Amino acid sequence: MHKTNEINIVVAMKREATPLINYWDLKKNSKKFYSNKKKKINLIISGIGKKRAEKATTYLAEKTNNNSFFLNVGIAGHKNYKLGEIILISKITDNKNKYSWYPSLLWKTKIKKKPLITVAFPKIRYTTDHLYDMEAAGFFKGARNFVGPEKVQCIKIVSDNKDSSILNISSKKIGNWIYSKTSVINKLVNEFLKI
Amino acid sequence: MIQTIYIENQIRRHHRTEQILTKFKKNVDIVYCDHYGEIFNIKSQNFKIQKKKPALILAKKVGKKIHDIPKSFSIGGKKNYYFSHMLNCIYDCEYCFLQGKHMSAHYLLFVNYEDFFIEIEKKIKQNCFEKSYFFSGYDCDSLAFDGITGFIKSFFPIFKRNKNAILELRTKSVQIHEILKYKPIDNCIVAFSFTPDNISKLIEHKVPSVKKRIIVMKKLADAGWKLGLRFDPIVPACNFAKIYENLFKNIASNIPEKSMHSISFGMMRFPKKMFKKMIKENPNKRITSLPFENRNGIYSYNKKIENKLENIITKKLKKYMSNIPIYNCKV
Repeated sequence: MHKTNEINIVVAMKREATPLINYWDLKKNSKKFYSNKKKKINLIISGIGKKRAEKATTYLAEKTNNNSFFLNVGIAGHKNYKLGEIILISKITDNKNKYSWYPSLLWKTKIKKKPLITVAFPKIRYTTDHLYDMEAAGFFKGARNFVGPEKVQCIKIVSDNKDSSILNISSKKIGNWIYSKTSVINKLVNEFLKI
Repeated sequence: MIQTIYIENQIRRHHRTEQILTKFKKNVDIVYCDHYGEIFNIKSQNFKIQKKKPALILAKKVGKKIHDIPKSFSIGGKKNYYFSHMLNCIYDCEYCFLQGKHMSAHYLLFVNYEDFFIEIEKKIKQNCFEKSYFFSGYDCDSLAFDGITGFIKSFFPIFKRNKNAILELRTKSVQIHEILKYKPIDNCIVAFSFTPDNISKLIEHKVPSVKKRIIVMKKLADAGWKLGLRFDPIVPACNFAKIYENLFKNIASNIPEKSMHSISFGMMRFPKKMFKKMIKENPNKRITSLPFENRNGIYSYNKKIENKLENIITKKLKKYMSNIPIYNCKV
């Protein structure tokens, strides 16, 4: 892990956070806030929805130094992508007001990049080639008040697609998908912190 | 190496967009946007970080495309204009005003060249009794990115058929192969920018060496092209007179005077806001140690130094290139 920069990670659900908490050996500070001071990683469990994500991101930003990096990790749906596939998000659009954010893509990675739409309710029909989630727009709105586009990123793991709807998602599956990608996420985090 | 291309939705099917995309490998990431400003004009971007890995943005230029240039920046004409089909540059010169001009370091390319042609020809028509001068290298190095933009093959024909207009293509690039495909066009001047070799090595990052630039100038001269010499900015340095004299001597001994259209030079100069932004983002760069002073909102060298440098430059230029018109670009 980089020596000087700090990374703030926002995750919606406990079951998404657990594999990351274990991987980085994060200690519980409060009910939803975890950190490892040595590794300079902070993680907050925001709850579901963009408003909660924004609030949690702002809370983290105010609590940590102003040179921090912000990362949203979570699950998302896509028409065709395989369950468990990891995607780096290239554009985030708030479905309600159509506002978009464009995180700078400066990283050495072979991970697929795709745009994402944040919706208020889970998506059952996938009408576009975008990923769909419920938090990223709120996270970006919160984080971009504090740092530039180079320091805010979003990683999603595919949890549902046209062959396997959200109804098939279980806590165990979510845990397994994130767990199987922890080392890839860690690699990316190290790339992020090089800037 | 460009890894990300942002494309405005309105030009995603434009013939030039499609042409440009063929020049990239399939693994480049394409992101569509509604307006380039969503990426390029966002506040709080870090120019320095972006400059390490700039993306390409393809967009449509709306509004005014041709802009007036102050009379004091002319190379002999009274009607002077610049146009910018592209913003930002592949080179990284520490003195470059572009680092303070835009929010972003991404390369922004306007693909609707045809709209530029219309405005250029309209201006030429308006000024039918005198020559119109058009400068293309103000916000980018038009030649350096020609492999992607196709600037030469698109813009040269406009000037080939409009003899009452002059195009200055200002560059530090050595990518002249596209130019050499054409027979010389008398009203297209390929103008090369120089600082002395030791200064260039220190502060003009990624720029081809002085030697390489002189070699390609010679090739163009041999092929019959009109050339320009631009010493802008003049950079104060140790042994100033000697290193500039060596540069002038070197150029003069390789390029025949008859191939030269003009010489221009100018001091480093920045509007206040641009200067402050540059300093803030690059506190450790060498140019911050130069003797700048605020002269009516423009940061430049103090008058005494300016006069001294001007005298040396003029004297040395006249010594080696006496028959070429010299223009001093003054604020």
